[in-house]
Amino acid sequence: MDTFFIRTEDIKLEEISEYFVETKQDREIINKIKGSSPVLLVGSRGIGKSFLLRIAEDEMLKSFELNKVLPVYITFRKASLIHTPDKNQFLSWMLSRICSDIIRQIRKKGLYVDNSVSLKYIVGEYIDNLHQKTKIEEMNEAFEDSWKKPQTTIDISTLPTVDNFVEAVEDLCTELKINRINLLIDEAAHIFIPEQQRQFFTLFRDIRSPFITVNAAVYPGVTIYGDTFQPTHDATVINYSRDVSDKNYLTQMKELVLKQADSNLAKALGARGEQFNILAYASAGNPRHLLKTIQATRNLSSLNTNNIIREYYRSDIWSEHSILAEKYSGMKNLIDWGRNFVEDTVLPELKRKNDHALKNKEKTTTYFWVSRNAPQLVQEALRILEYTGIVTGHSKGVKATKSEIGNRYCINIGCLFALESAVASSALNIVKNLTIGKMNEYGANSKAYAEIENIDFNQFDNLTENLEMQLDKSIDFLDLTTWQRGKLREVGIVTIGQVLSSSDEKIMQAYYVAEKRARQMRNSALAAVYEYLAG
Amino acid sequence: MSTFEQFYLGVMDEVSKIQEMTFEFDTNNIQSKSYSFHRDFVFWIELLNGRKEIVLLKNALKEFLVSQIMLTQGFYKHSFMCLRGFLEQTLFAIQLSTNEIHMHQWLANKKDVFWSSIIDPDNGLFSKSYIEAFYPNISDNTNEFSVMSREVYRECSEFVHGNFSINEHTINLEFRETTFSLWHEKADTIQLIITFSLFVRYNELINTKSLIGKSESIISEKIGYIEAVREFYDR
Repeated sequence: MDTFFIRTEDIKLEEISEYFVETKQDREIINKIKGSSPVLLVGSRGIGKSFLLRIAEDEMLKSFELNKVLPVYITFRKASLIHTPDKNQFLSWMLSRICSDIIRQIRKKGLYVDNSVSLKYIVGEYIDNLHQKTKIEEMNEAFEDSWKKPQTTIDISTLPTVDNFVEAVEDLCTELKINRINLLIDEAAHIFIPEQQRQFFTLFRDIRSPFITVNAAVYPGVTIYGDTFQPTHDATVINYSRDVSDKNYLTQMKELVLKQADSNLAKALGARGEQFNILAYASAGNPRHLLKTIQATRNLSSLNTNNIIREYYRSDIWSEHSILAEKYSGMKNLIDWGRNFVEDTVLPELKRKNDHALKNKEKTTTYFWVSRNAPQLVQEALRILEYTGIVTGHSKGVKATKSEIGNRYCINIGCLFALESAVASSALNIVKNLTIGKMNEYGANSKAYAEIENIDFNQFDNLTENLEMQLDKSIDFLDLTTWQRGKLREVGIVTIGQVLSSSDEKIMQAYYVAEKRARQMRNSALAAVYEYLAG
Repeated sequence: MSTFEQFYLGVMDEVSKIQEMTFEFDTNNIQSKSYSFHRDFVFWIELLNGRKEIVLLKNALKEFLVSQIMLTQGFYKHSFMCLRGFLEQTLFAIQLSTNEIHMHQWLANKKDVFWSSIIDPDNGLFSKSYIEAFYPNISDNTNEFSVMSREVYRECSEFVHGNFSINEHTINLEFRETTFSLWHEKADTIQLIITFSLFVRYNELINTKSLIGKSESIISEKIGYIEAVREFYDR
């Protein structure tokens, strides 16, 4: 079985539509993203936010001649690499990044007009042609290389102010006869750095104009919006997830896999439909989980499926969560508490409830509820669990027994399956009988929170020191296959920092295959680094 | 004996050794399982006797036999070529059977096979419109077969075109375990596709007790996991 494209970054833009399995929900979201009102797309890792942004970009590019809306896809995944003494470094970098990507798109579309006055504020200088690298692009590169020499001051004298930027874009649109520019900002806010969230949302609001639409994809658990941005007023907030009880769920997930299947996998998907269904449900609508588990089972045999469910949903899925504790040592205790809460309390109690339900032919559940008066640290721990997708926030302001108000969450269904001794026989029964009406409740003073009061919780301050520590870590921490890591080691790339600092040729040398495949693998390695550093 | 006669006889010696090694390796009898599909295919040829597409089906079967012979003799590239031909000609036969104009054009040597039209997502043999015309109950399973057909054809084509990645399998005349197993993997998939496609197209002709009895094990062995097939035989 070939390796799948697990990350959207691995797929070329011109090929992206070949992998798209459109649902009604997806179409609605894409149409909103393409529209003139800003969208905040919220979803956990691997759910497909980046993919939807890219599909929207692809469609807007294809219809550009008709609609004159220029999409500009921007990713903030390199935010973790910015390390300068400037206290507004993040804002400066964001602006330089946005400007650079607008220039890049204009260049690609061949829209440039010689000696354009309106471009001056965006490129940072008067230029007579766009073919050479501009000052703003150099500035952006300097920011993104600042991790190599932290504390180096970067000259931002040619960076436009926010107001100048907005006016410049308006002038540019008029000059180039574009209706508007649609910014598609991915990995928009770092959930563990509140100051970055604050600066991002302030910018999100401030650069809106009739000529600029801003759309952003963020992880759940981003809650710090700054002083001027209000989520419901300043954007349409869309929580992106897939409902496993939707009648088309299995068909859609199978289509998604078939888009990347070779003949052996297509055969297995037909002949071992039940095994596929179990994996599809276990993934809880997250394509990344599904593709990884299918890749691991190789032939979808019943034995392999059982083993993979246990390994992945008891161990692998948690390793992402636990890596956060390694990276953000100030939050380790809280992150660990969250894991223990789910593993020692929520999951076993849900399993007991479902075992009883199945025995008595009653309804089953994957939901639990936490009072809004539960300690703040509990809410923080749940926020982190939402980020990694172990838990999905379902509804706020839900009234439980004793008329208490709280939030309902859904546990990752694969984690429930992983507790079953015979996954094949019980998994599908659990799903078939699911109801939202049942949920385990954890009130304001639940015994389950006993340890939380003793926890020290502080966000780390020293970003630079933390980054240095992360860069020294082994490539084993990266979300790459064993084969990919082996190949990197063969050419002496053993730490995360070395992946970042190795030349293109060096990384491509690790994969002695045709250039097209090597480039894909290089992008995979770098994407894994950015993802790791972003949290 | 001339030099070139000695050369050819020498090759036959090599080929004969490879054949022995092939059968020695095949302790699981997968070669005989593949061979038995030949008999299954004969069922369809007998069922469709008299129809215009029968000559294509007979040729297709010959391709399959030749493919197996080439495989046991170590001519791997040619075995994959013939295996691909088996799939292509069978599906082309089915495709022609649905369109009289194309059939007559083909009979008059005015039409060739176009693989892309056979697997066309809108009008091909695995398209919604086609399946709904011939056996709508099976429509839930067609996507897998569409992908299987497309991919296995492409995978066999790598041998036809001599892609770099395939060279290890074909560069020398020698027995290769991995190549032998790979061929059987693809052959198994192709047998599945062919059984499915023939069933979808011609299930209406399986309309007597005798034919139902004869066909059930042949078809169920390959695609009995599909509910619509089980329903066909349960009614």
